[in-house]
Formats: sequence, C-alpha cells, structure tokens
Amino acid sequence: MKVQILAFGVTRELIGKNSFDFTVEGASTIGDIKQNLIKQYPALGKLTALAFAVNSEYEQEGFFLKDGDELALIPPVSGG
Amino acid sequence: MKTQIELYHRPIDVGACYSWTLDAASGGINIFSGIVRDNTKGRKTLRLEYEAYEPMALAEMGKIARTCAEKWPDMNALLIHHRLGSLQIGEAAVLIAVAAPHRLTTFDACRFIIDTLKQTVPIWKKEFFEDGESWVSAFP
Repeated sequence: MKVQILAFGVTRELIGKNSFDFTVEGASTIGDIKQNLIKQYPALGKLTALAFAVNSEYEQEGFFLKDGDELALIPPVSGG
Repeated sequence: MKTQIELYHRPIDVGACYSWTLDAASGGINIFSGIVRDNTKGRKTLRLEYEAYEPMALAEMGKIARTCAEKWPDMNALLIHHRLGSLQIGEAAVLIAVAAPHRLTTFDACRFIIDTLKQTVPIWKKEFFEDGESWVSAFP
C-alpha cells in the first residue's frame, strides 16, 4: 500500500520536503505511520502536538489508511 | 447568508472587505483584523511567513461558516480573508467581517470565528527575529 504524505510548517522543514510517497506492508493506521516517521525523523516526536488529515479531513491515529490516500502532517496550527 | 472565504498572497483591502459585507438588512458590521506585531514577549520581530494546506484550510473555514449559520441564523454576511507568504510589521494577516441586523450577533460571531480559526484551520506562521526564527507553538 502506498500513501502520499504531505508535510507543512515545521514538519516540512524537519523532513526536508513537502511531499513524498510512503509504502507500507499490509493494513496500516495513521499511528503506525507516525511511529515509522518518528523513527526516521526523531524531532517529530518532540513537537507540542502532531495531528493528521486524510484527504483533507482530520482523522485520529486509529484510522486505517487505504492505497492512494493523501496523509497530511498537521503540526500545531498558528493562523490569524 | 452570503459568504466569502479566500486565501491569497496580496495585501488585504479592508475597504473592499467592508463594502462586500455591507447589506441593506444589516444594522451593524463587526470587523476583526489580526495584524503583524513588532515583538513577541519583548523579543523584536522582523516579519512573519504564513503557509497553508490550502484546500483543507478553505474547507475548515467553510465549516466555521456553516456552524455560524446554525448558531446565528440572523447573520446576513460573513467574510474571512487570510493572507499567505511574507508579511511585514503592521500588515493584516487575517480579516473577518460579520454583518447582522443587531450588534450582539456580530460581536459574538466575530470572536467565535477567530478563536475557532486559530484552533482548527491548517495555517502556520514562522516568526523571524533579529536573532533567529521559529515556527509558532511548534515545540513546548
């Protein structure tokens, strides 16, 4: 299964790119991918908070992803 | 209720926003504008940079508008403009305008909109100081 990961703000800078494909074996939740990403980029684990959106909708870590989903990393928002 | 929600890189035209929100059935317009301050806790700020997950930011602001229509059915007009890119001190980053027959709805809705926007809409700002830079609220 392949998902496209979008990274914004501080997550974009920590990872060094704003978009990349991520391939995983079998069924995976947002939480599974989060753990993988923190292993690769430990600074992600030190953020105040990290939320996620699948295809532009906020989803919790237990959400099961499907092939082709767009998973956005949403660090603490600071608009206004 | 008429609604206008936009994200863009050009300066916000307050007069144009006010004119769009004017409505013959409204007795009041409330405008909130968030601007770039010259310091954070005494540390001198040079400029801010804003970025957004644009399709989701527009969708989340649309949800705020729908919630407002339910909470304040008397609201006649709602405008939310948010700027992106590099902003200098004193420039408007966001402008919210609400028109309704009576003032109470306009005050309450304006406050609800900016408070909710700051919690849910995927927009980020990076603050540039004389001696460094940081993403607002990113780290404890």
